[in-house]
Amino acid sequence: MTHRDVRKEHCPAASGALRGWGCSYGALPWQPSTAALDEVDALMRRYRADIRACLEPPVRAHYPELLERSVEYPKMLELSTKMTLVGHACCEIAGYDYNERRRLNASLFGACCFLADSFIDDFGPDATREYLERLELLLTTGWFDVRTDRERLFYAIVSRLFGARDVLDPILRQAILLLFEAQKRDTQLRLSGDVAGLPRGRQLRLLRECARDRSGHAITVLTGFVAPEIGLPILPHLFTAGALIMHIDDHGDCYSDLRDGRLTYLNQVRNPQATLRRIFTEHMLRLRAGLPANAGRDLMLAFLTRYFLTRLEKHRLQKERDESSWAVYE
Amino acid sequence: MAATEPIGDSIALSIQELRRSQDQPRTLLRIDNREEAAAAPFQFDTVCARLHRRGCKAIPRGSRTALYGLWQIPEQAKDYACPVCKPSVVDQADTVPPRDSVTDYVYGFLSVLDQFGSVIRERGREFRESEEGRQLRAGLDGFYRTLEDRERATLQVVLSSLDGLLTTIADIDESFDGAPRRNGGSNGGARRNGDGHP
Repeated sequence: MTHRDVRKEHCPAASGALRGWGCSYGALPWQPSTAALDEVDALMRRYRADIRACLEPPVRAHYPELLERSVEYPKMLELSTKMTLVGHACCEIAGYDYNERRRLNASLFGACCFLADSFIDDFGPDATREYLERLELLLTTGWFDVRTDRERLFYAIVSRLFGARDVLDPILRQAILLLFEAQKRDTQLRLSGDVAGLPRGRQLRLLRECARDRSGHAITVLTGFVAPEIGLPILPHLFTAGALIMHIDDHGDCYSDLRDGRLTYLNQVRNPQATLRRIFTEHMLRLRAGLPANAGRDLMLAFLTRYFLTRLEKHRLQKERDESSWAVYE
Repeated sequence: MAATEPIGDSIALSIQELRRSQDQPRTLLRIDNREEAAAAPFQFDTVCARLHRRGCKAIPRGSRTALYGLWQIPEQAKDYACPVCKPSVVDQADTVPPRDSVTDYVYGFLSVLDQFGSVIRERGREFRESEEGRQLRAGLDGFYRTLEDRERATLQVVLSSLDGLLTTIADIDESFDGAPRRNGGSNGGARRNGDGHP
């Protein structure tokens, strides 16, 4: 089989699998199969329904007001759906079956991330600082002073997660703290405004590392909650996949981030689309070569491809309409 | 408690409420192991997939926010050894993996009982007399009735063993501390789950 044949076989753009996605993919040395992309779509549909059934009871019990919010609640479900799918890939990459209990953990982790992010992003700088202190207290002492229904829901979900896994596993606890540190660094950078005054090279490096760490550690925590053990050889690849997700996310949110005065690596480089394409290619090739050849790897690569394309489209739509849209993955 | 709130959520949230009754609450659960991880003999760089000795000069600056402390070198990690510091199994001879032992969990459980014993008892009494408490009791009675004789016997053995274990550990704990402690009376005293042990 010639090189050209291989490309044709694994190139959904060429085979028509990407038709209707609204974006051209361009030539890449390897792309996921049509079957893998179809599986992503099927799983997304299935998990969306599952997640509604999983998250609605705790939301109704602790923070029913959230159910009335026509934008925020669907956003939480959508993030949780993404986490559940990525958790699926990570669990199989780690060598474990993705059973119902593990799926539940991934869904809860998605809701937990959504609420924690909202504490840090949505209530102003003073609240952001205070929440960081309170989250650090939670991680260092286990105490969290529940003051609102939103916090009540957050803590109920955290306690379910902590009860579902050996949260004192040395790698999982380090991943949780590394994630917290990354969020803290990113937030402090944003609040201080210091990054704008740095020399350009240093600024870009710092922004790139912040993006990498935030999602790189988040995917490791997710894996820790769905897999009984994370083998060391897959740790760097999970980190790579997480970093790629963050860069793709930041490109999709480019205009809304700029409107909010939030600097990211992808909204500061001169040619973001070409930069993201290069990052995507490098990361995908590294993942393809480094991950164990199993169903989890194929699902991860298909999801990343799908996500890359939808976020390119989101970026384009935001540019055209100058309005923020949120992350629907199809 | 909301009508649909699961019992696990209620317990977790109630424990958080108990903190308000404490002047200097002891640690409940410490996830944070940053100090221990930084002091671990080996550091795994997840950015470059490289295993280093702690403090190796070859650790890139950009990887410092993505290092995992390791206390032993897993078999599969030897392929990732840094060619500069050359970490080896010899270095791990005296290191102890930072796993909490079963007794830490038991001590942790006891410390919560010790710290909040009287409040928990009071709340338990209130809960037993509430509608939710009555429903829970009815549910448990129903569950117990559905058990076969053999399962009931096993449950009794487990419960009596646990009871015996807790009594024994409480006795030992008291003998170590010299005198029985009162609620919250040993803040800053003997090492507890999460204090000083990774």
